[in-house]
Amino acid sequence: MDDEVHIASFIVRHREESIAALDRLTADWPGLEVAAQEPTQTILLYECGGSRELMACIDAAQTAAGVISINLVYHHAEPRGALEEALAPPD
Amino acid sequence: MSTTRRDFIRASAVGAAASVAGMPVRQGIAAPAAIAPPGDVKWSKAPCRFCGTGCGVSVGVQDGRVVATLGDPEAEVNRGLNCVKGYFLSKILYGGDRLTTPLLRKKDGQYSKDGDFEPVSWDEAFDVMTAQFKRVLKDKGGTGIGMAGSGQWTVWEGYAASKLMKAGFRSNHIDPNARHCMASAVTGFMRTFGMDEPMGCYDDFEAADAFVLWGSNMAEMHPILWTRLTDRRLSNPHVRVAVLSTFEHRSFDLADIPIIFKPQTDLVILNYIANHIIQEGKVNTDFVGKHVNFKQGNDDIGYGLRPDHPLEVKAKNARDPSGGRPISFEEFAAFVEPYTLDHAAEMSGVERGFLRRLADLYADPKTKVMSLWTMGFNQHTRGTWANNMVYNIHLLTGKIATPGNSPFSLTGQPSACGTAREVGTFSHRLPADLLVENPEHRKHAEEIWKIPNGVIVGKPGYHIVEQNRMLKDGKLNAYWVMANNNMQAAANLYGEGYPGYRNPDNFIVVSDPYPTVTAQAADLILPTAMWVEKEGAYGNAERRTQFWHQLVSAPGEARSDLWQLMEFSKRFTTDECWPAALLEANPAFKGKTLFQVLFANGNVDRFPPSDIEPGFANDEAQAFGFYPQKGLFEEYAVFGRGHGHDLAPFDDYHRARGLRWPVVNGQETRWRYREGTDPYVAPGADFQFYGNKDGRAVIWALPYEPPAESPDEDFDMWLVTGRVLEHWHSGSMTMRVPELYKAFPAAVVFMHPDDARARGLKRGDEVKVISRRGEMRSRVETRGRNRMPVGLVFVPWFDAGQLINKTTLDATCPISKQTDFKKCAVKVVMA
Amino acid sequence: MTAAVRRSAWPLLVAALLSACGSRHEETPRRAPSEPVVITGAGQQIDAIRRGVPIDREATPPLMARVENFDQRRPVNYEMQPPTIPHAIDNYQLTVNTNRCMLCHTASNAARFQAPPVSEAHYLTRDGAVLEQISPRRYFCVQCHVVQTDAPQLVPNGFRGLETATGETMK
Repeated sequence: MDDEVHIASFIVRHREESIAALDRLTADWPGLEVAAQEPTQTILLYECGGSRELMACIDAAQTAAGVISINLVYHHAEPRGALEEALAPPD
Repeated sequence: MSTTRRDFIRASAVGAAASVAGMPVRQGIAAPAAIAPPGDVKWSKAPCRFCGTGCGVSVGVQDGRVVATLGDPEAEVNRGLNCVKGYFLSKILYGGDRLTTPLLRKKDGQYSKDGDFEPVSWDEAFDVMTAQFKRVLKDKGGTGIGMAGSGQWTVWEGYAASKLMKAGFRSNHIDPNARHCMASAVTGFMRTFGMDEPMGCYDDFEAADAFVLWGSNMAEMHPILWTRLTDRRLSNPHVRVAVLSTFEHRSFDLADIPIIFKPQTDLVILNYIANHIIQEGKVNTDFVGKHVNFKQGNDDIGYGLRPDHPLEVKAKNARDPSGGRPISFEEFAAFVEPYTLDHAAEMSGVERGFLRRLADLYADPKTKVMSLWTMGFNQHTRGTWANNMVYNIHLLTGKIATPGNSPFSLTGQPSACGTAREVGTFSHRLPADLLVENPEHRKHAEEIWKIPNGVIVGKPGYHIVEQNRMLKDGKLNAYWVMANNNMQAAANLYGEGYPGYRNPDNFIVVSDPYPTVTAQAADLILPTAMWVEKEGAYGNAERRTQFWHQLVSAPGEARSDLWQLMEFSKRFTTDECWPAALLEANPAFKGKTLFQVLFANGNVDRFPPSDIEPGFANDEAQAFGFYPQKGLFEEYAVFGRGHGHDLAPFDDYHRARGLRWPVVNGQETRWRYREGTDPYVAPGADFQFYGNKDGRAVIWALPYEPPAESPDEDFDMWLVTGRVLEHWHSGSMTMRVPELYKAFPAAVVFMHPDDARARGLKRGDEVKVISRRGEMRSRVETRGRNRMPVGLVFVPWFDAGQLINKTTLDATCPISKQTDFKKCAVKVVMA
Repeated sequence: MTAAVRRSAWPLLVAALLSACGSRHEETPRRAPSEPVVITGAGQQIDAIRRGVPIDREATPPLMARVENFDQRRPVNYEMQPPTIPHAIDNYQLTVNTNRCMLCHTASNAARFQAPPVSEAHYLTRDGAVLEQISPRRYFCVQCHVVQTDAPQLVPNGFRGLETATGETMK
C-alpha cells in the first residue's frame, strides 16, 4: 500500500530575535524548511508522513523562543506514488 | 527535469501562505499554477460586496464553491481587516432561496399580472418581456420605458445599461438607487467644484488632527474606516473627534466633542462655523483671494414633492432650485453674520461649549480637519446645501486637497462612485460628468458610441423618485429593476411605489439573486448572478477602481446583469427604436439589432476571449464570443482619459489592488486639485479647481430652511431611518447569512424610555408606527446601541418584514432629488 | 327592571356615574394591547423574510429575540472568521475611556475569567509592528464580533466550508 505524504505550510509570527531559533528548528526537523522570511513573519514548508507528525511539529514551533503565533494555511495529503507523477506541461 | 505533482503542491502551499501573509514569494519557488488541481483552495482578490469603503478580500474557492474569505493583507484600504459583514462574505451566495430560473406571473398558461409566479425558460421570459417593451415602444416610444439601476452594478453593467437605455431605446428614464444615497453629494460637488468626487483619499485618516462626523455613524456604517480613525485617535493623544447626530449612537463612543442637534439644524451649525471663522479673523485670505468665488443660492426652493403639493406651489424658487448669483466676500460675511453662537445654540439645542470647540477645530489654522459625512447630509431636503456649506468652511480656511485637510464625502454603496456616478447612469447624465442637456456632450457621446448624431434625447428623464410617481400615473409602462430593492428602499410605499408596480398598465421586470419584496411586486423575475460569479469592477469612495475575476459559477440558470442586458438587446432593431427620419439620414444603421449597434460596434467586441487571464472563467465571453467587460471598459475609458477622469488600462486593474483615478502615466492620484499631487494642475498654480472654467471653487451663501414635515399634535415624534452594522441596506444578502441574521434578526423602534412610559409602552411591546402615509408594526427597544433623545425614534430599514418606508415621506432635496429619509413625523402607539 | 324602566334609567345612571367620578374621566384610560395579528394563506409570498405577509398588509412581528448567554464557544467556519460572542454584552462599556472586553480577554487575565484570549493578530499595528496591548485598529471589538440571538432562521444557508485533507468538512 502506498504510504501517505502530507505537505503543509504555516505562517509563523514572531519577534525579530526568533529567526535564529527557527533556523535551529528547521535544521533539526527533517522535512521542515523556511520557504520565505521577513523580520517578524516566516513561512514554513513541511513535508511529513502524517497528521501526528504535523501536530508535533506545530507544537515544537510554538515553543520556539519568541514565536507569537502559528497559522496552518495549507495542508494536503496524497499517496506517495501519486505525488511522483510528472505534471503535463501547460499547452 | 519535469515538474512533479509534489513540486507543484509544495509551490501551492508556499504560495497560499505567502498570499495570506502578504509576502512576495521567494525566487526559485514557482508561484502556484493558475489552474489548481481539484480539491485545493485557490485564493483570489476581490473587493468586498458591501459598502463604499471598498475593503479588499481574499476569496478562497474549492471545487467550484467559495469556502472562505479573509481580509486581504495586501489591500491598502483595510490591510487584512474586515468588518463582521465582510468576514461572512463567503455565505452570501448560498442563501437557500437563491433564484435559479426566471419566474413569470401566469394564469392558464399565459402571462397575467394577477397570476402566481411560475418557472419559465429564459426564452419565454425574454419573449414576454420583449412583447411588453415593444408594445410600449409602439405606444409611446422610449419615453414609456424606464430602468431602476444600481450603485451595486459593476462598472460595465452600468455602462451597458446606460447605452441600452439612452442610445438603444432612447429613454433617459434610467436612474440608480444611488439617487437615494449620493445625489446630494454629487450636486454638492458640481456646484462647488464643477466636478464630482472627493479630492482627498483615505490617506487623510493617518494625517488629520481632527475628525468631524457630520451625521454619519462610521462605527457601524464604515467600520474599517472607523478603525483607521480610531487608530489615529488612540495612537495620537492630540487628535480630536467630534460626532454630530440627532441621536446618540456607537460612533459617540470615541467622541471628544459629542453633539446631539435638533433635526435640520445642521444647516445652522454650518453657517455658525463660517461666521465664527470670519469673526475670529481666521479666513485664509490668500487662498480665498486666489482660488474662490462667492455666490448666493436661490432660497425657498421647495421639497421635491409632486408639483401640485401645496409646499411646492408656494415655494418661490421651486422651478429653479439650483440657481444663484455672484456676490462678494463682504456680502457673504454679512449673510452669515446672524448665525451667532447664541442663535446656533438656541436653534440646535446644543451647548455653547461644544459648538464653540467644534468651530475652533475649523478655525485654528494649525489643526488639519477631516470632515466626514454620508446620509445625515445627503438624505436631507437641503442636502445639496449641506454639502456646499461644509465645503464653505474648508474653503474659507484653505483646509482642502492636502493630507489631513479633507472634506470627505463617504459613499454608501460599493460602486455608487465607480458605476452610477462615473459612468453616469443617472437620468440627466452621460459618462465622465457629461450631461444629456448639453448638445456638445451628446455629440461627443454619440461619436464615441459610433451612433448618429441625434440619437440621444436632450431632455433629462425621470429620476428614481419620479419613476415611482410616473408608474403610478401610468406614464411609465415598461420598467426594469436591476440590483436594487426599491420597493423596500423608496419612501412612501403605499402612496407611490406599490400602486405603481401593481398598476395594470405596467409591466415590471426585476433582476435579483434573491426573492425580495421588489421581486414580489414584479411581474417577471430574472435570476441574477452575484459578486464573484461574474467578472466585475467597483469604484469606492476614494476613487479607487478595483477589479475581480469570475471565481465560481452562478447557480442554476442565473445569469449576470451584463448578460441579460446584452442578450435582451438582440431582440430589438433600430427600426423599432429610432425615429424614421434619423434612419433615413443614416441608412447604414437601418435594420440593425441594438446588439449590433451598441455591443458589436467594433469597440465593445474588440478583444478576444484569449485576453482573459488564464485560469479564470468568464461566462459572458463564452456566451458572446468576445471579452465584453474589457471592450466596454476601454470604450468607456475614452470619455475620461485626458479629462481628469483618467482610468488605467484594463489589464492593470486585474494586477493591482485597485488604482485611484486620475491614473496618468501609471501613477494614481491621491490629492486632486493640488499642484504636485494632481498631474492636471499647472505648475505654479498651487491649487486649481479645474472642474470650473476659471479654476476657482465656489462658496455658496445658503440659509437655514425648515424640514418638509415636522412633528405636530397629531404626529408628535421625529422618525429617523438608517442602518445597523450587521445588515447591509435592505438585508437581502445579510438576512440570509445565519450569523448576521441571528446577531440582529428584526427591526425595532429605538425610543427613549420616557417616551415609552408616557405611551404606556415597555421594551418588547408591539407598537404601530403611524404617519400620514401609512403604518408599520414593530417592537419597542429602549436599550441597546442607540440612545434616543425624547421625541425622536429610529427604525432601521434592513428588515423585509418591517417596511418602514410605508411611513416615510418622499420629500427630496429639490436640487439633487434625493429623498430625506431622516425627517418625517410619526406617532408611536401600542398596537 | 323592565325594559321601559331600563331605557329611561340609562341617562340617569350615566349622569350619576359621571358626576360621581369627577375629573378622573379626563385621563386616557390605559388600553390593553389588542390581539396579535396573524396572516396565513395570503397566496404566493416569495420573500420568506416577510413571513408570508403580503406587502400591503401588516402582521404582529415576532417577539423580541433574546441574546444567547451560554458562554460556550461556538465553532468557526474558517480560519479568519471572528468568533461570535457567546454571552450578552449589555452595559459592557466599550468607549474611548475604557474597553470592558479586554478586562477578561487579555492573555494575562484569560485563564482567571475562563475567557478565550484574543488572537495574536490583535496586537499588530497597521504596519505589522507588534504591540504590548491591543492594537488601536482592533479596539472596537463589536465591529467584528457579534452576539447571537435565539431568533429562528427564516432562510437556510447552504454554505459548505473547507474540506480538509483528512476529509472532514468545516461546517
